[in-house]
Amino acid sequence: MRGTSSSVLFLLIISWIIFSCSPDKKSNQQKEGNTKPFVAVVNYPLYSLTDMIGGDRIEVFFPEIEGDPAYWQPDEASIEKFQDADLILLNGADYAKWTGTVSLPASTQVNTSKFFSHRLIEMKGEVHSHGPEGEHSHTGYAFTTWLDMKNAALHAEAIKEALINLIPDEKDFFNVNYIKIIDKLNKLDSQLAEITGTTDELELFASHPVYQYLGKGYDISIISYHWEPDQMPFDESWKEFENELDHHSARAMFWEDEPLPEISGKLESMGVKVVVFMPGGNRNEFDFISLMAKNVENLKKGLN
Amino acid sequence: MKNSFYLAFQYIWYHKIRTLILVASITIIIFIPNGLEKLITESEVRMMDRAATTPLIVGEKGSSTDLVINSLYFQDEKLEPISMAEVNELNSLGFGYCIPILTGFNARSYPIVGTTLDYLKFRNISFSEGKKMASLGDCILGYNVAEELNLKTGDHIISSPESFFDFAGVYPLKMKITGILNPTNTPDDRAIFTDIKNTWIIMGIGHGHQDLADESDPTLVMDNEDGVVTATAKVFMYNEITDKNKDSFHFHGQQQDFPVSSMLFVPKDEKSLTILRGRFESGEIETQAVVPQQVVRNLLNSIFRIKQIFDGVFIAVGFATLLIFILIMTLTIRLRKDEINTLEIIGSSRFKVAGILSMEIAIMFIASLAFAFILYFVSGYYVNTFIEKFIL
Repeated sequence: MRGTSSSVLFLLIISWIIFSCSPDKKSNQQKEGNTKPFVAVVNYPLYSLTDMIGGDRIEVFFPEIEGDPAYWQPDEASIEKFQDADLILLNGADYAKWTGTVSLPASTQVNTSKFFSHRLIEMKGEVHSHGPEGEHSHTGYAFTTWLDMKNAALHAEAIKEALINLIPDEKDFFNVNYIKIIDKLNKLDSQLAEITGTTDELELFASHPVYQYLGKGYDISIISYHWEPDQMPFDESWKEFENELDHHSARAMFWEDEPLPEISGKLESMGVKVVVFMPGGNRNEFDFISLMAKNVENLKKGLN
Repeated sequence: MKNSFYLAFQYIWYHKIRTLILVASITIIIFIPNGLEKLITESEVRMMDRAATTPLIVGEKGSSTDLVINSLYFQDEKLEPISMAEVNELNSLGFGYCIPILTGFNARSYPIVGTTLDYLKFRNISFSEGKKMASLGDCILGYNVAEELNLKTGDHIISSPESFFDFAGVYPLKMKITGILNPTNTPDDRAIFTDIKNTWIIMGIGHGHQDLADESDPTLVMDNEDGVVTATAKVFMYNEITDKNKDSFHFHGQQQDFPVSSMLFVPKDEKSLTILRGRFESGEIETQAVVPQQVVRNLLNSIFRIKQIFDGVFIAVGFATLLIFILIMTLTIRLRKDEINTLEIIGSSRFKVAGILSMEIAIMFIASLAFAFILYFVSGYYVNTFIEKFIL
């Protein structure tokens, strides 16, 4: 009888120890699961580069966006995610204007174009005048900065620096990943320089004014339009384009995506090749390096 | 003893008015120095607490006291603004981060504090209801503001026009309340927090107006040539930021040129703080950096010097009161000569008579002490409110 009581008491003590300990263990595990720093980014190139540098040491958040992230307007849930992030990586150059109209903690924001802010391309806005301050215009910057591979490398450097500040213990890990990326970007940069360097005063058309940095970085004079790949331009636009053809040496046109076959056909009938050069601001099936490699390949084909 | 107490009590109860005046005088003389001591001690603790939790305040060169008072207690001190460029520059040094503060505007006599969300994190303030401000036009209220104005999440509050920073015409801005903070017993309870960008809008640096390109009213546009649109004064300026018009809000000029009253600097560590202070002291950085604890300590030392003068005055007044009390008691004994004689005739000893008179004095002193203690206790209950309203 005494032996049974001792066993019961022993089992009770063991059960109490197990039950009193297990919730703590669970919460610790949960905590461990959530200790990965949360990094929020404003576009896909930053997402891709951050993911490649940060690897499994961080959790990268880039919201699901329909359309161009540059003109996205976040909902309250997304704003809260950005507000609670340990690090917010901005593109700079006025990209994602929404960041200027919401309240985000300044201490967690990093402008990843800070290393080339002096090289940003200014875009003059409409000049207008009202109220007591008189005539003024709202100037901005061209924002597809990453299309110049030298800029992309500097974005990567700013990301690496921000991640090291966030998790100093992982400095070596981030540096190793960064160097791998830089090697690839340098290679792409050399390829672009080689492709575009073969022609003096290279001129190209662009379906959209998003290739400013590509033009500036590789000495391409770009004549931009506002054409959409899935919409046939109006006859008037074609007439204007034909007139421009007579005044320019450009015989290829950059497109953000594969244009409609009718558009490609018409351009080819005019002797203008289609070069799909995807800026890749939004989520796509490739990582940033692969997408740019594909773009470089397309340009090479287009210019040949 | 019991009999002496009975006779003494009956006597002072019979002379209610005289007793009341004497007790009131002694009560005040006991209470005031002690109450003042409590007020000053409590204020010191509160002020030092706030100062001690703020490592460094940076602002334009000038009065360090004004800089600290404005930045910590949001008092309406006129400060020369610095620019956002200076905030960015300090941030770029890598010693820590800055929390910009822009004051100078009010809504229903409560200060509007333009800052970033870092402020709430830095002060560790939580919400009693609602959440952080999310977009332009949002604000959050300190606990007392919400209580006193009976406002809740979802209500609106309109900024009062000021002339202090009137660069481009100050428009009242209707702000949506997204959250109410928990009480902190600090000046944060009596402030309205908003994103610094909202404060710039209140100042007139940023604004929203009708889209000149889309409007069908031809009288809005005076001239439109080569993309240069000149609008007439008829253009409608929005005084509330809504989902519909928020895209029309914009700022004129570069953000780095926009004004900031001061900034709180939060260093990475002690070493970073020391290095940064060294740069300020060597003149490498042109703005002024002050350690709030030192400034508040100096301020309190001045208050202590004034208190010492008051203490002297109270000692003199107390001594005078004591003399008057002795005089009153002496005169009373003379007036009560017949009464004392009667007591002796019916067999009371001189010692007993002295005992009765001493008991009267003791009762009055004990009553005064009790009243002073009650006053001290009651005033102690309201001292925090008093400090918040009149000192901090």
